[in-house]
Amino acid sequence: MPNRCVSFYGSPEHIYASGLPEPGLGSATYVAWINPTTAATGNAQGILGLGRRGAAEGGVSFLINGTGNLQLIADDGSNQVGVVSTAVLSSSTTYMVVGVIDRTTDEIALYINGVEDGREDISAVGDLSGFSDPSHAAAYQWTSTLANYFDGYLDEIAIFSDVVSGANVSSLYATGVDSWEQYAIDLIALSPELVWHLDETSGTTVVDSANSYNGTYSGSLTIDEPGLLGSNPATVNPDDLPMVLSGFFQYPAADLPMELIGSAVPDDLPIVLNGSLLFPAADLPLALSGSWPAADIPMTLSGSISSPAADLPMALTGDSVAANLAMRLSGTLSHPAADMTMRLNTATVGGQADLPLILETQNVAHMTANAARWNVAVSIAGANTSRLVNYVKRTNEENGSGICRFSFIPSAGNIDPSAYERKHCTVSFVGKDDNNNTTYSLRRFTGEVSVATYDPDAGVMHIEAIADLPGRFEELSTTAIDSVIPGDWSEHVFEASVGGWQYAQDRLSTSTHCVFIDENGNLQTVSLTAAASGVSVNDSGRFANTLKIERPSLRDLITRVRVNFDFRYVRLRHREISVQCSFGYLCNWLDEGYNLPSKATITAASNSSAWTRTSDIYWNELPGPIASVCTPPRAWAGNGGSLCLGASWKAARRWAQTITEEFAIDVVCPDLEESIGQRGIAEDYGVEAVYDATDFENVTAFDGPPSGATLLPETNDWTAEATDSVETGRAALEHAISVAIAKARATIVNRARGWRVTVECPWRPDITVKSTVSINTHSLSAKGKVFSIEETFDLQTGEPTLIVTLALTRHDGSGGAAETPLDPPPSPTQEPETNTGRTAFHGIRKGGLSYTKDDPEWSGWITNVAPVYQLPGRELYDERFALELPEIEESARDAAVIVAPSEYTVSVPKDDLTMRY
Amino acid sequence: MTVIANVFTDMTLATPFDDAVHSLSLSAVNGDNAYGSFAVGTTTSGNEVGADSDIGVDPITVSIVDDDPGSGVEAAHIKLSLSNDFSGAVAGAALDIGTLIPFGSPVEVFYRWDNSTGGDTDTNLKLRITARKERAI
Repeated sequence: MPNRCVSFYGSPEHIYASGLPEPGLGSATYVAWINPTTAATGNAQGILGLGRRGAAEGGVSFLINGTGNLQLIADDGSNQVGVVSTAVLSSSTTYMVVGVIDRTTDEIALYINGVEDGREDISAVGDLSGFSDPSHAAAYQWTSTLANYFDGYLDEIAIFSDVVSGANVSSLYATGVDSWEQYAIDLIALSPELVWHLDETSGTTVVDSANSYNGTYSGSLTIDEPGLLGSNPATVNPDDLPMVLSGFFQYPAADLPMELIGSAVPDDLPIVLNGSLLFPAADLPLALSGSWPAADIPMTLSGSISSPAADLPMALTGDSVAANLAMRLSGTLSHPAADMTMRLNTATVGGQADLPLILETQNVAHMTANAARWNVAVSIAGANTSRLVNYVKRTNEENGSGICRFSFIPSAGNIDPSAYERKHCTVSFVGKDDNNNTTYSLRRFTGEVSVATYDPDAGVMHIEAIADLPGRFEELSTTAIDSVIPGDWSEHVFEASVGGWQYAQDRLSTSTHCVFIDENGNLQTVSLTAAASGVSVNDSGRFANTLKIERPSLRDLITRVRVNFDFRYVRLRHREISVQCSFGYLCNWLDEGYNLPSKATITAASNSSAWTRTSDIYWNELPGPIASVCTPPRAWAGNGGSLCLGASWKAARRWAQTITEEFAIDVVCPDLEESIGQRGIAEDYGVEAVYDATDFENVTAFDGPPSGATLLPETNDWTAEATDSVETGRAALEHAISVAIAKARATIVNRARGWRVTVECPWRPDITVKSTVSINTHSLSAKGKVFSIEETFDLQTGEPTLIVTLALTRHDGSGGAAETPLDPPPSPTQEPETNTGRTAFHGIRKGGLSYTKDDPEWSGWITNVAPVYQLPGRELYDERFALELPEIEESARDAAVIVAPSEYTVSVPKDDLTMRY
Repeated sequence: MTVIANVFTDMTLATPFDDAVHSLSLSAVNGDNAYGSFAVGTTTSGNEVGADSDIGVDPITVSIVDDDPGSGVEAAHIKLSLSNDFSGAVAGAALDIGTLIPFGSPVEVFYRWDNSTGGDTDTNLKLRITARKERAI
């Protein structure tokens, strides 16, 4: 309730009300706060006017007269008495004005600002009731036309059906000057009949806070002006009122007694307690007086209330007025101490750091020398290991871990082999000049010691170190692996995976690449295809006796892969049909006297079918009266009643059709087939777009096709794909097919790469797993990518050796095959379905005319001609209306198999391999 | 010599980079190239790594430092990249590897040497990573 008032301008602005309480033969008191713009205008300015002064029915007028005096006039329609204040009101000054009709003393009196100023005898005035004219504020009626408008501010108008004593008037004034809130409380305590706070901020309704004497703002007045009363807050008396509890409250006992007095409307008393309330028992005695059905008082307690039930006793007694019950309790809120958890994390700082970069290149002159000095430097955990013995040997191969083995004589003292394990280990070849100065070094291995064993008899420590390739992928996410491993992956082709080495291998299986860890410990990804140029070794004098050739077993070669892919999904279908019923013509019916079905019978049948009726029923009605119809002519009275000659409507049915698309994809290598014939394998995969169509089929409340459905011209049915999820929809299918084809292609190519040429050649550090090497001897020429290497530094003979195995891809075809782009095959086209007809006709069968027996399979209206027309010995039928609508044909309901064959050509390279004698 | 915080030898973050033990080593014949990688991240669940200068605002950068410019391999022979195809990498340029690197999403930093200087071993280059701060998310 804000402290607001209303501004009037002396023209036809006013407050209109009807039925305001009339004094009759009783007492009354009129209270208002006013601030006239000009007090003495020469014309009267109405403050409050009940009825019409001077009219036969009379009225009460409370006003400022033309000279600025306050005046109260009581008029019973025959006699009128007025009292005029001695004081002349000042312009633009706020007053509390009070007019009193006291029938206990037969006087009327005026008070200005709590002080009496005028009193007259009104014993001559009779019954002040039965006013026929309406009541107003800010105006009063003297003639039949409303006039005497008030110019200024009006606030806090109140009417009492009793005398407010001078002491109370004085007290009210003192309170109102200080606090509008307290004034409102004190005013209510005096039980007024009407209180217009005039504090509306919108609308045209003037709300009566005491009863329901609401008024209406009229004219260009201004509401929501600053109030005329004081703005100090009310001094809260525990017995007092408006109560807004929010936040955390901790009231000591007895702090919040509430007393609600008056005959209030229950809905007027919402009590809202928000927040967390912590009330000790007995803190909130609520005494609500009046006729209060318990359920009529909406009370909302929100938040965490830790009060026992007994904390909120409410006793509602007496006749309370709703307006009496605004409750506002302000006071001191006591908040208990609270602990707020602090989480303090220490940030760790790593300073700027330099990562040493070692860049090495072999010295060609040194490594190709007939005799060159060298040694091997081994470091474990950063410490050089001297006294190497026997040899240092390392192996490395495609998609495998690098392994290095060496032995050394440990330093004197206790031996703990396990102390070497899981330590970082590097092995470098160190080239020396004739003066034993280092000319260059080359890292040959970087890894971690996996096994250390000590031979106590020989006094030698044997070390095996590993560059763990699978370990590089353990715990790695799919995203991290995707960034370094070529190929592709689909959950519909491979087992579900969250990453790791298996996931990396899955991706590799769809590509013609390999991975390995190089000499420097770096993960490398390289193509399996031999490069156009590479390292050439032709020192047949050294390796002529070490050549070894292996060819792939025919059983390992594959020339074609059949990829079978099933894509199963749900298609939502919606079919509409026309139902036509015809039961003969009027003359047939009149001639044969058979029964016609009622509209209710047809309607019931149309609503109980598996098909949903989607239109109104169009009736073939019996005609109205006809004077002469049929042959022979007769009159038709038009009394068909509820019968019908026919009916038609639209019906629809929905169902889910399961579609299975079968893709048969042949991935073929013609060049291999030319030489070894067809050698194939088959791979089966599937994608199922899961969809629960139960609701679609069972919910029959529809009147048209489903949203997004399109009409198939072949069947006249509406269709829509049930789902197209990322995981199982068509996009997932196309991706999965691409992955499957890539995997098939890689399988063919990689198995064709089964030739191996192994040679022990002079040591060359530039031959690694990623190298392409040409071998040329008088009996053999070969070129291919390195599959594996074995490097040995013999510390006893001083000879470094290298065994290289090349992997060659071979075929004996013409080599003319062109690679088919790896695009997914087009979606298959569905065979057109047969339109089974979309009209269901129902006719009439009449018994008593033929020998045909009744058949429960019949549909339509089955009846009999009238007995008089029945022929002897003919069959009679059970009368019924049988609605038989078509079933959905099997081909449109169940799985439709659609096959889409396609073929992809794979081209395999042909690496050089020539053997001669 | 010590472990370099937040730097690991590979993406498994199993082995912290210890400059007493580890080095970024590449071998390439003249005219060829070679690449390697290391990882930056944190093994502490719930943490993230950022630049110490203004965490969350400044990026962590890796740059190439040449202790002996004009001799041997130059910084311009090195490329840095966040992918092993080095697409878009500019020779000799520093690399912004991210503003915040959360636990579980380490960054792999690739470096490549395009050898055009011939033989021998060069140790004058190093990759410098800016100061990092690790904090709870």
